[in-house]
Amino acid sequence: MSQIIREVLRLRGPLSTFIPRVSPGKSIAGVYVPAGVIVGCQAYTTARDENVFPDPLEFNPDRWENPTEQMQAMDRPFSSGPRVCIGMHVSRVEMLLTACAFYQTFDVELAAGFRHEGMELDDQGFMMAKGESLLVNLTPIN
Amino acid sequence: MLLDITSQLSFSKSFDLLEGSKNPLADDIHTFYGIATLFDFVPWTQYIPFGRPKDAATARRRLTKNLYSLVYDEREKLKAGTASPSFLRSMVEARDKETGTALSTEDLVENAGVFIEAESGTTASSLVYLIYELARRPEMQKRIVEEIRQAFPDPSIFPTYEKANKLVRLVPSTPLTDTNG
Repeated sequence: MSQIIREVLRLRGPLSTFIPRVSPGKSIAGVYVPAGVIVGCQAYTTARDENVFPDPLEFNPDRWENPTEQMQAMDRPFSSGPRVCIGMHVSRVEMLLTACAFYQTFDVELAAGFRHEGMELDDQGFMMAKGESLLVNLTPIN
Repeated sequence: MLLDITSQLSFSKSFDLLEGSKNPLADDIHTFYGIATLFDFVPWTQYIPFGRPKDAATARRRLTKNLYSLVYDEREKLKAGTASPSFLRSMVEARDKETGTALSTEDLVENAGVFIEAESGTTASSLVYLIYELARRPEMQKRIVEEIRQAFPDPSIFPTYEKANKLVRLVPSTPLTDTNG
């Protein structure tokens, strides 16, 4: 389940933008960035680098079975460093337990004729689904 | 609904959106954060005097004012001894271990804004995608569901984190096909 969650966050994470930082006037990877220039490194791009994630657009939880150091570094759904998302652990626990409880209780099936276009990511400040709703049929077990 | 829960946790005060309250804070959050990324990437856009950028800039001013009063209220409540536990209270009370300094009002306001932004549906959106990605891959879904029900056979007992966290490897190792075509 953790692997599935990681893969969902890699491809469908809501905050794939960068957090802007102001350059103090230093070189980044050999390129001089003058003081005052706004720089950032967006998670959307690093999480789709085909050198690190072969077949990057494919949803494949298996890739997280033995993640390389590079994969860990390039997949940053909660950002990284001292300013990493303060809610990261709460969010992970919430997702894991909600998903387990959900599948423990219901059989889930996409509603017939559900239109996939609505699930395309759309920038609304956060990256979220374009459509208003995901339609599934739920059958309680027992 | 999410904002109701998270505002309760952050500010020990629900925005009561579910109760039908028209919370100006919530509306402003929507208006401002919907375009905030553009302001970050292209700073001059916040000075566009019409349309969405103008609405967002107005919303941001109102939002900042309201966040200042949230922080101010929290300080007053702390003085009066009536503050309940909340994220904001912890931040107001926090002191740097080495220097003993507290967060400035500006820092608190900025962080209160981030609470609201980061809380407004991020995890929920990811869960929706999790359900979607599995639902369109019935094979994968079947396997993980089997594993979950094996680990937690009684639906009336809520899963535990310790056990759920061990369902790490329980995904199919066969190549996966995209059913969306």
